[in-house]
Amino acid sequence: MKPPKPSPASERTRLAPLLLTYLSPQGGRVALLALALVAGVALQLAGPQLTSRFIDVVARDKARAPLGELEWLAGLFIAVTVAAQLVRMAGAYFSSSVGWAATNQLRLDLARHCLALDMGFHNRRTAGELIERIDGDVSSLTQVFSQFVFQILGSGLLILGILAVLFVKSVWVGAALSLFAAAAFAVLQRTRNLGVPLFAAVRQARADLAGFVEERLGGLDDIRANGGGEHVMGQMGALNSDLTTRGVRAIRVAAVFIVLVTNGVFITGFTLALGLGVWLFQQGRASIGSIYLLVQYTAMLRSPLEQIGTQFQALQQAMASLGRVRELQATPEKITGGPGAGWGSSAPAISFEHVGFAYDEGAAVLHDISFRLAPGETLGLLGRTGSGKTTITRLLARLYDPAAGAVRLDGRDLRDARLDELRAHVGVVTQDVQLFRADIRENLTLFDPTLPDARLIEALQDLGLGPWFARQPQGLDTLLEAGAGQLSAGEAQLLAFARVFLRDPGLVVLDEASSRLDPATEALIEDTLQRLLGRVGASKRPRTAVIVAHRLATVARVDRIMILEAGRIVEEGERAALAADPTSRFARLLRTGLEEVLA
Amino acid sequence: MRAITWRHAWGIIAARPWPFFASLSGYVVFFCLQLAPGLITRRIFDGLSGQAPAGFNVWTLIALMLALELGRVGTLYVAGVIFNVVSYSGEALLKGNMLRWLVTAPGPRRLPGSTGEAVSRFRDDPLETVGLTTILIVSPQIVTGLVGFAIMLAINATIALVVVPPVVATVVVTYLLTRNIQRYRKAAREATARVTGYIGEVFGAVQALKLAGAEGRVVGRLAELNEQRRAASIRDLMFSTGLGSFGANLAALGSGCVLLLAAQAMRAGAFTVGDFTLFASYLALASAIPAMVGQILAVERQSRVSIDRMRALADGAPPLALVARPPKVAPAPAATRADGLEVLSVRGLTRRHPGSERGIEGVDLTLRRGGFTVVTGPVGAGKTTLVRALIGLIPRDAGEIAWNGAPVADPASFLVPPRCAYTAQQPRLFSETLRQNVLMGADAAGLDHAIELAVFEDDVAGFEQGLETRVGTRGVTLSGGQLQRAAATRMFVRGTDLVIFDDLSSALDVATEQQLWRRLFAQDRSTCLAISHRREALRRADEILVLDEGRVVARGDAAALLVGCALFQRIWGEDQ
Repeated sequence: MKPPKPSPASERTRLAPLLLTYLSPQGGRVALLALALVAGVALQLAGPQLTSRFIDVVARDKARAPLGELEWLAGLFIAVTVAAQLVRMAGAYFSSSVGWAATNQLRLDLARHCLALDMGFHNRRTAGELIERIDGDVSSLTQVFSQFVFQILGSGLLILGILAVLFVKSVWVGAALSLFAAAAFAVLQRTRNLGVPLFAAVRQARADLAGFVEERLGGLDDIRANGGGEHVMGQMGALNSDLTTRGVRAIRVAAVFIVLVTNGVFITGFTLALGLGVWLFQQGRASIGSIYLLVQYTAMLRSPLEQIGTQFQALQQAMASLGRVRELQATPEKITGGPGAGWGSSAPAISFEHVGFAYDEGAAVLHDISFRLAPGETLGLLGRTGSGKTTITRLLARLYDPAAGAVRLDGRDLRDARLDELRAHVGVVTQDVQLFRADIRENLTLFDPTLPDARLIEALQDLGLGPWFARQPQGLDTLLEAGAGQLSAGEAQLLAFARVFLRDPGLVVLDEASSRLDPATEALIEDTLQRLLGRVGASKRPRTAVIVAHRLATVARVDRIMILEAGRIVEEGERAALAADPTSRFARLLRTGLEEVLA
Repeated sequence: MRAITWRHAWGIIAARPWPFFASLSGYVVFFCLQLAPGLITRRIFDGLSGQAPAGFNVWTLIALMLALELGRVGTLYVAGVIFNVVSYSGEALLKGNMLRWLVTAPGPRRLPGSTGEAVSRFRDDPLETVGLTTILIVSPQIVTGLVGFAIMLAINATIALVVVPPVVATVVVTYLLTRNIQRYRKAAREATARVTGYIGEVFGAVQALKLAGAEGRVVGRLAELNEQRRAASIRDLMFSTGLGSFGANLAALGSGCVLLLAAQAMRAGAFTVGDFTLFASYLALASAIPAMVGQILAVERQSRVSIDRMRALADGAPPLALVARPPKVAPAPAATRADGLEVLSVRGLTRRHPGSERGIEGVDLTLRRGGFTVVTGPVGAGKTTLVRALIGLIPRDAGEIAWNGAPVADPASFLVPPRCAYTAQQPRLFSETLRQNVLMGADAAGLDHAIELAVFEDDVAGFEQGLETRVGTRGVTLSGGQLQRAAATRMFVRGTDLVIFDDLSSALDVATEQQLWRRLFAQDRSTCLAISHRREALRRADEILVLDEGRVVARGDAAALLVGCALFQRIWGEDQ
């Protein structure tokens, strides 16, 4: 991934729609925030008016200055300052609440989008990198959503207010400072994007680091038990120093704007105003109080200028993140649902028609695969590792689309089906079982609250997990934790069976699903497996099934056999017929054991 | 407690002392120069109102102020940029030490949550902790405030003293509320970690979720976690904002009193307009003191939360391990053949998983040089637990391990290359090239041999880019069997005396598995411990341990067990 290089011209067109999309649903809070800002500006402008009046009252006539008025002014000054603080707190509340609501929505949208992206996308990205892209990048947009617009508007408003007051006090000063403000604005505009591409590089370095760490934490045992610790530390050192280098370089460039330009502009303006005030006083055209006022107001320009600097710095960093968010949003969803295939819940017929497939423009892994399976039949898939068995199951579940040909269920191309329809119709158990740090119920239902507990417990019992379940202290509410030893790999695989059981699909795909079970346990669940396949049991409901196996026992009861070699079908037919034909590979396999046929 | 936070701050500084102190000096200059405009403006105003003898020309004063201010900003830029070297290095130091502890320290490791949750401890907590040094570097502001206060005191003591009570009150209140700051911060950090942890889990299991059509429900759950985080974060923010606001309000009260007192003094002629302008600008400086003290207290509390979270990840590390200087690259321990494996004996190995009574109980095991030992047994019998406790990946509750008769205290750091290597049941590869994965820092000399031992050569030859193939996240672009043989290659390339497989064959077809055993035992040196229930392995085993419910129920070779052990007969018999 290359860091995007946003150009200043395109940035507004990219930022505005995003702000609009995520801020408009919370109009109420946005309005309150705007109100707090305007009130804040007004209160800030009021302060110096009071002190200037105070000075003039005192200076006009030292001896007879009415003490009552002074006390009143001092009281008012306290009131205004306290009110300004309260308004500031309200502003902080509304802006953070707006910011969180907007970024949380964006997080959800990104998560939803990423979940819809194909496995090719996910295979290239670590979970750690996606954490950074969905949460890290979005978090750095928080300030843009919560403050950028409002602070820039607020600061702009304050500057305009100050200039207006100065105009009233003295046309000369007002005009001079307005000219100056215009010039300053032009300088700010030209320099504010200095750091954007550099910050994009920093964000990428952070994402790389997060991805690296997440993967290594997931593989701690592999690293430690194989003495890879120092090697990993070497890699970590390189990533760390890369981040440091990029970070310091970005700051060095960006701070030219944030520190040097904004402050330089302010100092020049302040000196200009002070000089003008002194000159006017010497000309006898201004009171000492009004010079004080002039200096005070000009000094007040510092904070909005700094605000603008800070906000644009945040924007610089955010633009880098925004580019990455945009890039993620623009990644096309390759696997999208069709209009609907109208399958019922009954077992479907499968047909592969001249299917070819390659992962990510790599070498082809399937060549011209064609076969049919009637409703309710089971197919045993045999072949050496890497021969394409798993790929066939992935195409059946539509984790990928074929590069050539078509996969059909009941004559309808998988691409015609809605995704939810397809997922409900096809149940897959893989060798790699993924567990969540959630309770047993959620791990079984994958967060589907509609399934009743009784069915969950029944499914566990059916699969021989009853004794295991009985040991769980909080029943279905027991939290499953990674590495806590609550579930052996074999038990986890049984749990994966239970997940599919509960969803009751018409087509079941087992990808080496029983490989981690010892033969004794496998025999125990053989009955259950037959029930899952609809072969036995009271609720006899035939299902179509594809079973990938590397043991003959696993395919002992299938209807048909298919043997793959290097992505091609080398034998396919009824199991009984193949077994009876002494020249078939399958028969040889039965006679002499798997090794000689498949070697 | 507090000391430990500051000792971490010092550790971060000590790693880059020169940049830190150079930057600090810059900030001291910057903050001291903050006093100049007030003094100069006072001279200007007194000069204009004729209340002071005209010394410098007004225009000279203005020019002087311009020069000082520009110099001040230049200093800030340089000091700020230098400081970033310190903060980025500090972040790197904390992250590096956390990972170092996890991958190299003795003893078993266990993450306090999911890996995604741990990522937040790597991403956010170091950043928060480095905030300690940021607050230190801007702390000279307090000195400026004090000097400003002294100047005001010299001009008019009575008026100056008015600002003291609000300052003291603010500091006291902030101090009293620090516990709450810590509580709110902790809640916010935990809510964030739950979000990152969940995102990590979701995308680690994305295939399973897609297959189950659970995408929508997963997003719904994320929405709940998002909402909890929003509430916790706003509470955290509003509490510290409120505290700051309280201080500012007290300071405003002080300023109002200053106005009144100043009015009286001005009427008495003891207070000039210039003095007034100076007070007006220095009051802001003085009220920065409580704000600063409050911030230091708050940041200390907030960092403590982060330090605790990082130390929980580096469980068992010495107190200051997070800021320890990284060791100079240690020379790899020379593979001393003097203590090459003759016999590894295990007596009474016991491990009970906390919270459930499962585990293993009193397992005895002897591995002799060149021997092949297989552990077998039904699902959940404790086979994996046995192997992991043996090599120290999980703690053992009891049991002695001896290498050639010498006791092994910490198997996690002893049973590693060049003595022992291990392939997990579900091995993890990383998203880099195949070569990087299998070598993982090892010498490439034995690579071809290792690939051959693992029966991986045809696959590697079949990859378009051979060993330079990128294997994708966690090795997903490889098939299950390729992944396991890549992991086996990684184990073999280390050339260890002892190799340990946990269920290597679960993703291998029978022919490949046979080939692997044949090649492995063709070289006489290998000692091997494997978990398997496949006949190919059982048949070749010198000794088989049959495990059931955590205990060894039978041992012997296949022939003997087929006669004497019903459980073994079932395991053997079903596999045909």
